[in-house]
Amino acid sequence: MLNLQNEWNKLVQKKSTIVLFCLSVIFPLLVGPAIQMMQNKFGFTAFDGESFPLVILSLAVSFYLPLLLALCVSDMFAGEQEQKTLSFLLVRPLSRYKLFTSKIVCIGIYLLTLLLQVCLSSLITGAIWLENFTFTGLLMGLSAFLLSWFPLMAIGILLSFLALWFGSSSKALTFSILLYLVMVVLTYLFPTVAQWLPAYDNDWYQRWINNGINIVTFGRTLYLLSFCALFFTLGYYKFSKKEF
Amino acid sequence: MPVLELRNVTKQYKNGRGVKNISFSVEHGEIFGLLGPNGAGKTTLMKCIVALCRPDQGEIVINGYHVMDQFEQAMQSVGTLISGVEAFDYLTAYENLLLASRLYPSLEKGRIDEVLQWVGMEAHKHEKVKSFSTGMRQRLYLAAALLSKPSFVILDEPTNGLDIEGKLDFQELISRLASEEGVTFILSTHLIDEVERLCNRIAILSKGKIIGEVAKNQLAEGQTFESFYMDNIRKGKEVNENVELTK
Repeated sequence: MLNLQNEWNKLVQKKSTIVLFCLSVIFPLLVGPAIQMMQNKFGFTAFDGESFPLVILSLAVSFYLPLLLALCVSDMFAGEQEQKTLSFLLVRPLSRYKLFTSKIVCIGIYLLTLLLQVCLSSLITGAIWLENFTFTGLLMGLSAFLLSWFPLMAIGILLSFLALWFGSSSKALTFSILLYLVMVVLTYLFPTVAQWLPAYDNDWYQRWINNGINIVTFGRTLYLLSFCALFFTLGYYKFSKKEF
Repeated sequence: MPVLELRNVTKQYKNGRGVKNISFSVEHGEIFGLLGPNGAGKTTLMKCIVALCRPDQGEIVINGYHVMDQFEQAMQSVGTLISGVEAFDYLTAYENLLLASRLYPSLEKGRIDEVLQWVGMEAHKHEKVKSFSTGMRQRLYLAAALLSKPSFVILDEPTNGLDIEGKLDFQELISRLASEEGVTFILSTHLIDEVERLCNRIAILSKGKIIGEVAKNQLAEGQTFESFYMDNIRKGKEVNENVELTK
């Protein structure tokens, strides 16, 4: 992983990444007190300290995190090709396989960082502002966030493969967002078709929390693993054949 | 063993441009000039040498390693400055070189400062690349090419955008590295004065083909690289005109 530190440094030194990191922390911190104020005003309890992190996670997993993934991936592949900076590392003694792998691992670490940021800030919000914050809730919230990394990573690898077909980051981003929206819509309209798409697993953590490990979740895990392997291989093949 | 060897390298684009059946070799300690008019295929050839482009056929060998199959070994002691390869403009000059230096694990700590000093950029090392002029960027790319203490350096239009002082500094640096440290260079350019000053041997590339090759000690009395270049370019034109007439 000779190039992993390079990829991570490039990513976190962008202003947009820092802004998005801050937003990821601030959003749950603002939503928590707002919900508590409304609950106090109208006298009902929709969310408590235990369920709040899961509510935030369902929002993040459905829209916010896939959007950030699409931004990161399109910039890392199509964006660097567009700005002709990808070749800056390609002319060094670093194989294309190592470069591609380091980018994918970096996307994985970025995703995990975002998930942990949202998780910690929503747990803190739940503990400070909302009632009924329990240790079980804390463990459940933490494991739900960690479990969500896997299906999101499958989406990230798919988007990486697709970004390689575009010569500009804006085109890659637009296409990624449209594709993701189509996958989400298909999940509701045609559930049987949607099972083949990674967006079907947006509620992955719920399935694990509700059912634990069983034959269905195990089978689905294998499916997602093979999905990742397939698009990683296709992505690397496309990347290795690319000319600059 | 030659430092660089090209055997029948062909790379053709859909628009008909590219290079055809290019064969030559560069020996240790040489400064080899690749000359040609704009659009002759110099950058395509340079990109093929560093595997940014994949040749349709032929072989490229650097220090005994095939570039396509043994890329990492081949590039281990190679420095490159390829036209069209850009640095990350949201990073500083130092940070860009730091990225590159991580890919050479045996490099010592002070090397980045040393190369920045060589190219006259030490005062700007903590400035972001986006604020740099074309000449300053070119100096940074030269620093990146020399960073790994290479024994072989590939330079594609290295003095583009440099002012007169920058060009002279660059020529002095190349001459010093070649004579004192035995670094081998391949230099692609269309500036004949640069070639006259620096190169021991040249090849002329026109319309994707090598139309002439000569070493400095093979030139006839009174002949210069410039006159050799002009003779070959004219001959090339005449041949093309005759071919068109016969058609």
